[in-house]
Amino acid sequence: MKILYLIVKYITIIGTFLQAFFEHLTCRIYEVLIEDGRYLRANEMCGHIEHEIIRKRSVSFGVCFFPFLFNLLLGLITVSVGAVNIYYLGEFFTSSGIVHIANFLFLWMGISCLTNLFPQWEDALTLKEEIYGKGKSNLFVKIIAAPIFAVLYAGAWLQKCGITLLTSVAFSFAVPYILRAIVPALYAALL
Amino acid sequence: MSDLNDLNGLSADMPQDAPVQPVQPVAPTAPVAEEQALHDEMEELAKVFQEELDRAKAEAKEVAETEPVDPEIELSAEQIPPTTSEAPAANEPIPEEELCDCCGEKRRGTAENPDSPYCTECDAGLRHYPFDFLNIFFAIVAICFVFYGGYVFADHTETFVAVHKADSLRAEKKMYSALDAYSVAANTMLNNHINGELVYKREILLAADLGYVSGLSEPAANIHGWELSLPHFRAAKKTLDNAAEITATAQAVSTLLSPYETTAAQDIPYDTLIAQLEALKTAPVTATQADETETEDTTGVADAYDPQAQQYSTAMLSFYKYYVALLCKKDLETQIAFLEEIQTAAPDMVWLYAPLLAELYAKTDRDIEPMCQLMADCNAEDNSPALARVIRLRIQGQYEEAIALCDDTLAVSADLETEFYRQKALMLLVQGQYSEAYTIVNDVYENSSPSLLTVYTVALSAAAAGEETAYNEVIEMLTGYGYPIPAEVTGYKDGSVTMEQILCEGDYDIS
Repeated sequence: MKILYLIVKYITIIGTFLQAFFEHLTCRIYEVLIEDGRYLRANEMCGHIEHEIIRKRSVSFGVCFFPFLFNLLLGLITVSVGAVNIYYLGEFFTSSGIVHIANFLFLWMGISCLTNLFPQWEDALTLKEEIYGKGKSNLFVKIIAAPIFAVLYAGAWLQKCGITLLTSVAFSFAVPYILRAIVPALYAALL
Repeated sequence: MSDLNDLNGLSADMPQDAPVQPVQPVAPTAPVAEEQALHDEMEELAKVFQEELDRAKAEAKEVAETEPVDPEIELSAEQIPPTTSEAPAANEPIPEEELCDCCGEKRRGTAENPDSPYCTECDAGLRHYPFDFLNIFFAIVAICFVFYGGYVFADHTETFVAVHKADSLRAEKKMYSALDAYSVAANTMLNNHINGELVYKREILLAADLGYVSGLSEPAANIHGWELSLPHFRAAKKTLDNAAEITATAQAVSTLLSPYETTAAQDIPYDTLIAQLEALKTAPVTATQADETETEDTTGVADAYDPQAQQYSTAMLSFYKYYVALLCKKDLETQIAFLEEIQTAAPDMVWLYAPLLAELYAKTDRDIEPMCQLMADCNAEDNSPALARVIRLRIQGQYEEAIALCDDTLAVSADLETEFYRQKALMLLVQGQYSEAYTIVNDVYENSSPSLLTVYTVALSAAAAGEETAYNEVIEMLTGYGYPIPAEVTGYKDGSVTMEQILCEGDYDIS
């Protein structure tokens, strides 16, 4: 499992790097103590920052959520460009006949970012403890946090198993169809 | 954390009086002599280590006594906030297990967390863990690339919307509109310097579905030839190859049939032509004919695919057999048999056989609905199913329903407009409304490029309505071009046949 995890991490190295960078940034903003700031270690911490155990609910949520959000935004933008240009239009070559490297880079970067969205499994468990632990939160917080927690928790498990590469590739195939429902209407509204 | 511990553990002060632990035997079976040798070696090492440690401490003490304290260092020490992790006094060594895991010099624990493995300074530093310059650089490059991606996406939006429109029309089975929309999308791509090969592929497939064989070369010129062997372009390659076969067949057959275009039916050697068409099924495509299928397109990529027909199209040969049967006025069953051959050989070529087969089924009192449904499923904008229904209603004598259907269809779409007007004229002729029939069909004749059948209908209706001048003009025109005058028209003119015999019997039409 660890080998598979590492293979996925290194295939999607740009997303791995950005996730660790954003995790680092978030930890700095929240003044979370970082014990090891290397981004691309060849172990289960690859793409994550080794930090102290967080005992504050909001900080725990922020450290899980903001790297997810940043990578999601970057991933959605780049995968949209790559998927539309390659899967939908078929712009494999430039008009001058050479391979359109930028389009393939967009697609790879988009898939990479979407593969590396979710927090480390231990961080997800900490978040679970902080939100759903006995006497930690009131019912309102538990209900409000449920959707995003479910996404982060399930995603962290999938990412731990290396399955997020498959889900992000599948998502990239669906992107043109999703955009077909949005972009033409927006374009018509803007013009 | 373990690596830090390992590193820092080496620099920890070891108590002078710490006893040297005896080394345990590696295995209970080790010989006693080896054990003793190892023990002696370890004792020697401990002795050397102790001597070195004593000498280092003595030197340090000597330096401390002789050199004055640097005032800057003293000042810096004063600026350090009071913490629980006090610096170890020279004569009060900190046990190794209480040393900071990071620096390995000060006592671990902070005011907020006495159990912290780090001293106050290290704790504060690790909470603001510095970024590597390269990490910041790469992150900025990646984010700039994402912004560039946003720009590219905005640049492609117009094309995306145009292609989406074409795809939507295609999904709705509005094939004629979809083909126009693909053409618009191709122009948009050209203007924006986008080479969307999958769009060209979809345009090729759609044009082939509609039977626009000659319109395939332009989009195909934008696809690299070697790409057509890849899985995602195989359908396009197959379509282009089929189109080349169809073109080669048409060219080969045209040389056979061209002498008989204006020949009377009884003078056409039907059996000979059918045999020649049958022979073409196994005949190799001649080099000259294959070369003629090449397109002289200067646009697109340099290595575009140049399809070469390897054989003649079986479906097209069956179609030409039907055409010969039609020219020779063979019975409807013979014609139907040839068209059904096409359906069997190439069921996808609905555009080729379905409209004709539906019309013949209507004339032979067969069920036309399955064929109409097939055409409607392929192209919702095709009026051929409605035309087949009009013909069936006309043959059944339900003229009001047929005319209403004509009007309803023409109100929605102008596809096959001239044929619908001609059918209306035929119904008016049967009902004795000759002037109205002539007016309708003459309008079509004057305002569009009429088919031969339309011209024949003008002649018949002009004869019926007493429009001698118009009749003579049409006959003169047909004679001038070398076309035969239909026996139905001349027969009606000389009174040997009635309108009912022409339009309500036989093949129910002028031919």
